[in-house]
Amino acid sequence: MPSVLPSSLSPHICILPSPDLDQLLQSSSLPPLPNILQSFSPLPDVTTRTTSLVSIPHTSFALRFSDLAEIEHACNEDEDERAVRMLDWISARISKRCAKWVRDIERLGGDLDNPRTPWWDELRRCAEGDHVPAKTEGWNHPVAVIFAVSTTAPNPLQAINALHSRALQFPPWVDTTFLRYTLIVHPQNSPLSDEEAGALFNAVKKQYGLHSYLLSLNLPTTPPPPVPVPALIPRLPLPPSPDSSVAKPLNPDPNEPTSPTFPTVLNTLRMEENDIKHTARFTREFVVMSLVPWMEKCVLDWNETFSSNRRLPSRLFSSTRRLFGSPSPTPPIHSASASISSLPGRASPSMPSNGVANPPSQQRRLAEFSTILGDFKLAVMVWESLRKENKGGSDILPLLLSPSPTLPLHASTALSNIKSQSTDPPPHAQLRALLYAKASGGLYGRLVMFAEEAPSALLLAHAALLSTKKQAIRRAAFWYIDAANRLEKCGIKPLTMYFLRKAKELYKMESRKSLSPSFWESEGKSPNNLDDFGGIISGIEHPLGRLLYTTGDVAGAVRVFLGLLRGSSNLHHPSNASSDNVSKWTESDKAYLDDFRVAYAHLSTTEPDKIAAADLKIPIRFCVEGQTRIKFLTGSVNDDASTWDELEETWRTFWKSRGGKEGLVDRKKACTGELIWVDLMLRNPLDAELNLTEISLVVHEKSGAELTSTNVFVEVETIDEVILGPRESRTVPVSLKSQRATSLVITSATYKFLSYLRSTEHLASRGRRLHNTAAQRQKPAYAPDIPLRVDIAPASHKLLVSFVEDSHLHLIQGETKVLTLSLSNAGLAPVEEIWMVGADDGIWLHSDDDESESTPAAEVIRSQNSLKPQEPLRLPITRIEPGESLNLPVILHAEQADTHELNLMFVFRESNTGPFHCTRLTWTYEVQPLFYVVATAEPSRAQGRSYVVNVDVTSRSMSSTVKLSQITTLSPLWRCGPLTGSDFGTVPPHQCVRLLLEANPWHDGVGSQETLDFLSEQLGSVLRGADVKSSDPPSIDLLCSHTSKFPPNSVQKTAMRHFIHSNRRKFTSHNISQVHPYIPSMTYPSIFPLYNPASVDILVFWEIPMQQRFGHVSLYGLTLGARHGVLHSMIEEAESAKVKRSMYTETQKENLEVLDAIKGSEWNMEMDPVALSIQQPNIISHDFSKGPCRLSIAFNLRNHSLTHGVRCTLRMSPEPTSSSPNSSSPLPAPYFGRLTFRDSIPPCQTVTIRPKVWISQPGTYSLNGWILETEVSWPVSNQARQQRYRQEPPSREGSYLIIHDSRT
Amino acid sequence: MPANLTLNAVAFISPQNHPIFIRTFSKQNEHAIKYHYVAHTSLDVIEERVNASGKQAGECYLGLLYSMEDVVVYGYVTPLKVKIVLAFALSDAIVRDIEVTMIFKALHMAYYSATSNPFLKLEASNGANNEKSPYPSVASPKWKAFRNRVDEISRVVGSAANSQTSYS
Repeated sequence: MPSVLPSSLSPHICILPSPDLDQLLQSSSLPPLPNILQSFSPLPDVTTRTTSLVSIPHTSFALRFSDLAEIEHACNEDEDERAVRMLDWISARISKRCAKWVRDIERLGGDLDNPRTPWWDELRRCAEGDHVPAKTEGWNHPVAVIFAVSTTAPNPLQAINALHSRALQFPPWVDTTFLRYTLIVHPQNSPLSDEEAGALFNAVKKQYGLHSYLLSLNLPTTPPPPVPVPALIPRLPLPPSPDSSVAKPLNPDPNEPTSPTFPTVLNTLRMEENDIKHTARFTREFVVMSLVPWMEKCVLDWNETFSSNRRLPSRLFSSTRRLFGSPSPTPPIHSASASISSLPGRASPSMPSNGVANPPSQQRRLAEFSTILGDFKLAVMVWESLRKENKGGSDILPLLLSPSPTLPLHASTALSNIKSQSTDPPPHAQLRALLYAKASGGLYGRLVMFAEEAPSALLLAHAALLSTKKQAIRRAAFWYIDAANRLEKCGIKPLTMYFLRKAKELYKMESRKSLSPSFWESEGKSPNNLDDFGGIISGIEHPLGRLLYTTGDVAGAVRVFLGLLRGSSNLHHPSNASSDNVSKWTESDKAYLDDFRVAYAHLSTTEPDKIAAADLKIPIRFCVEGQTRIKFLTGSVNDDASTWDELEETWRTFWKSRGGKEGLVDRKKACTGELIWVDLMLRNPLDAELNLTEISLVVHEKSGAELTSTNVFVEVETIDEVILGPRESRTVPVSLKSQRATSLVITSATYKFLSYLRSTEHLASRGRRLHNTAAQRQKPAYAPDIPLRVDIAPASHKLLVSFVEDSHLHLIQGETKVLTLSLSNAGLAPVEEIWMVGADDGIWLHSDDDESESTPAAEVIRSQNSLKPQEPLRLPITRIEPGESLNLPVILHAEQADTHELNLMFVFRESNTGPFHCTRLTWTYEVQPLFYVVATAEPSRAQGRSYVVNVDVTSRSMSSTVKLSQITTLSPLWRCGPLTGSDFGTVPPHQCVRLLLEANPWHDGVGSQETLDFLSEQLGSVLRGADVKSSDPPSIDLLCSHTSKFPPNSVQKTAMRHFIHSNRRKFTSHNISQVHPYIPSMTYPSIFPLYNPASVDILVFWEIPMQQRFGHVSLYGLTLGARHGVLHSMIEEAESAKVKRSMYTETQKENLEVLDAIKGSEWNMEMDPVALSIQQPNIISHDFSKGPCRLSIAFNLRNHSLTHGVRCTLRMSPEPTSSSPNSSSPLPAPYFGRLTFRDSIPPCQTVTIRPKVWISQPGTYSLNGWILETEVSWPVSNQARQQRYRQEPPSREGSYLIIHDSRT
Repeated sequence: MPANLTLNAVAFISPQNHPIFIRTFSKQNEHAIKYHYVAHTSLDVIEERVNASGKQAGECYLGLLYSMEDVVVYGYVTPLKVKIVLAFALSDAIVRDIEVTMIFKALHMAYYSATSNPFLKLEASNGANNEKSPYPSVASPKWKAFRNRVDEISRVVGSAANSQTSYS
């Protein structure tokens, strides 16, 4: 139960002073009587009694005194008008003083537990100061009227009579049940003596009863020193233009001296001590002897009526009346547990429908009086009954009841009752409900819906304060914002800003969370990350900034606006918002940016000195640090680095293998005086277009550990302006040039944001996350930042290499083109040694010297047979002096149709001992396709040759007619020659030419068997899992057979040999990588030879004489001859080896796959070496009259094996099994005589077997009735290994014998 | 089906009280930020409720959190502490808890299936901080499925309300 009621719930006593009393007080420089008496409120130690005569001690008993005339006048004003005036008045008071309050609070600092809220106190005092009687409630209705006169009146008694007989000018709804009291002030300077005054008092007592008092005062003429007294409660000033009906001239506003203009002046009373004592005694006596007893009596009487009404019959009656159609409008039933959606009902106890206003009901007065007197038990009972009848009471009950869940409901009901009137003044009920209904949160929000006025805003602010105390900081923040929004509309700026700041503070306050510290890490967020609910912070800061700007704190505004430019997060991304509020979010960044621009421009024109002091920093980054690159003249450092790394590695390996010690100077260098570009990646995180000006770089020299400035010798470009669209990313190259060889660190980029604000951003990117120690794993630790570094080399060693020809040359497939390489020494030292690395790309030095005489039709070249890439090539130069340049012819051969990039690295040095430097050349060219070349081979039926090779050349050219000039085959074992002549003619566009070659074994070369042995050994160690010995395969002889009408092109030329090897190498490597994916490409050269001895490579030389183009196309992959599984024994050995158990199935599976791949590779091919061909006369005429025809048919058996002899058995079947006598099918040839032939054929030899046929009648005879069984055997490690084959005639085609009778 | 409910906004808030996703369905643009406030303020109430209810987990639905001006706010906490906040337009009709729970469950499922996407972490992996939370990427512009699903739930709720009014 609350011990102290708000002072507005205290007896209201009106005073009607006589004019002479007013004069008297004025002359003694005292305020009017109500103000004097008010100074003595509240009274200490007053005891009241309840209806059951229980004493209730009041430690303080408040009283309210006011001038009767004033009240009468105020009552006549329209209530709504007064409400509006009151709101304006409060707003005005607050807005006048809030600037100082806010200043004070900011100066003194906030006491967190009990923060000062002067605006709230002010609001409360203003609200409590409402003393005009209201129609709906009786609190402000006068409880007593004191008629006060002084003895200075000419006739005091008459004056008293006049006062008593004065008609009260209250409207009819004011309750006139009040105590009448007479006060006679007897000053010392009164014309009446004390005795006379006593007589007067007695007369008055006789006439007007005991409620009278004679107050003797000294009132000296010279005012005594002022005595401080409690401040008066501010009161709404009277209507500014009093209308003429006011009978009496109004007293000057008693509040004027203390009202808003002089807020800090203490309220004082210039009274003597004795006078004060007397007045106090009077006040006390008035209350204790007259007012309280009178009120108690009223309560007693009214309670009697009340309880009698509450007896059963009347209640029954009243409820029946309510149930069965009462004349009065049925009030909406309202339950205490009403849901939020219950409709608000307006309590109108004293507003009957006929419009004639009645004073508040007696029951209500009873409730009020008992509340005032502190008889809460009775009061609660009466209020409850009032509430049940829907006549109010909800507003007071929360004050009287102890806290319980129903309190918020009472309060909300009270509020919803009020709500139906749009411009109700914030009456006591609201305030009191707010004060005590702290428990309910939702109330406040609903309370202020209808008023966008300062008072409601302050209510919200107070609600926020209370919520803060309850630790509900988010709610508090929300209310502060709401309050600020409302206050802003009223134009009370200082307080608005204060509330906004408060809200921001609360939003930024990290609420305590019971989360594990590792939770943050697992979610990848830092706990003090404030970008959540970023929209809210922006929503707070933006109005704050605008307010700062309008109130003149431009520097502050600039800072706030700048802080707003955070770049909206995902939540605000347009696609996240629903389609209709896209515009809202996208515009916010733009609005912030515009505001910043305006504020900054204003600041820079008015107070430029403040800009430096403000220390403005942009909260967003534009440079994407990880994506900034350095680009050199010869391409970027980071671009396709692998290519260059490979080339460098090739060079290092090569040089090491030659025993060289000299290192290669790091190529990631620019030379002095050479331009370097830093590709700044700029990204605009904002959803608005903006411009950055004067973009430049900050470059430092790294000397030892510290960085020194480089202004002297480094020129950095400055880019005037870059305009970035909303969320645009763009690369901006900034060039720099150093005049000194050193190591530069590009620490940061600078720019002017919006061409106003100079800003610097670091370009070093964060190192990788460390996981080395346990501590690092638990707490994220990162390696040191990676700076953007560039080394500048002295220009002493600088070689510029370029092609004289244009880049993007268009070549034709296979074309060989002579280009000119231009080498110029741009350094300071001469260059004596240059190596070209990367010649695998089909480039070689051109030399005219071996533009030779006549080339024989066949040449033998010895190949290294190695898959090792081409070693770097030393360029044939002697010395290039500084400033000199040199042209060197080179040949480019374009084998594959595509767009190619030629990457060449040139390594050079000054003399034989110095370190090497390198320079690079990248050149692109395009190659058009020209031919499809397909080659097939089949065993020849002719005696003289083993195979016929069929080369199909199909032109893919759209327009050119290509002349085929030469066919060259390269093979270690086969010699090829033309079958159809050596003039190949031309190939028109999209046409095809077929060329036939014959192939015969060639046994003069060496290296074939050695190659196979080498391969077998190396693959054996692969299968065994042993280390592969890094050895080179044995070299092999290649027979190059040229077929040409003209003197053939030689393949002995170094360039030619290089191209042949290089292309063969590419083909073989590719092939191996396809077939043996498990063998690392590094080990190819030591396992596989370049040439399979059985292979036949074909080069087709072509010319387009019209365009002066020539070249050759190569075809690889053709193999001739029978082979016998050379790896067989090795594979068997591997298969039969003890199986090593492996823990992983996968390993075993892979081992099997390796084995399978080797088994199925081209090296391990195995086939029937014998080819059978029937040499028969096609048509034979025979005179059958002479008897049957006896013929012997020649069966040629050719052993295609180059190495192994075979034994073969040819069986002739006399009667073929398929004897379906079809008229169209040929007859089987009837063999007779010896039907089984056995023979052995040495390698590459032919045997002819002649079985006989007996033909008795003419016809077509199929010779297919044979079966050839072949047996190959060769020794393998003391055992003979055998392989058998069985051959039958092909089912589709066959040899036929046609015999016709010569007689016909 | 839920009837008489007008969904004004849906908010998903991560266990660390970061907003994952706030989507408004009301027509007025200027109210978009209001629901940020609503979501933020409801965190207070949710914390109160969760603390008050003690440790007996299992009940995700928190019921009516508070009502404010023209909206009523309901809360839901998933077992993994993701908070879902719904704001309905204030109306005179009776709101049945079972209907609100149904909407919450649908939203929870939508969120669950969105986070189950194994490719969510893909986008985050290129940054320096590659152990990022999946939560923001659920709502990132790249993952539209979640947004569409929430929209669909809202549409179903809205159409049910409309059909109810048209037939009554």
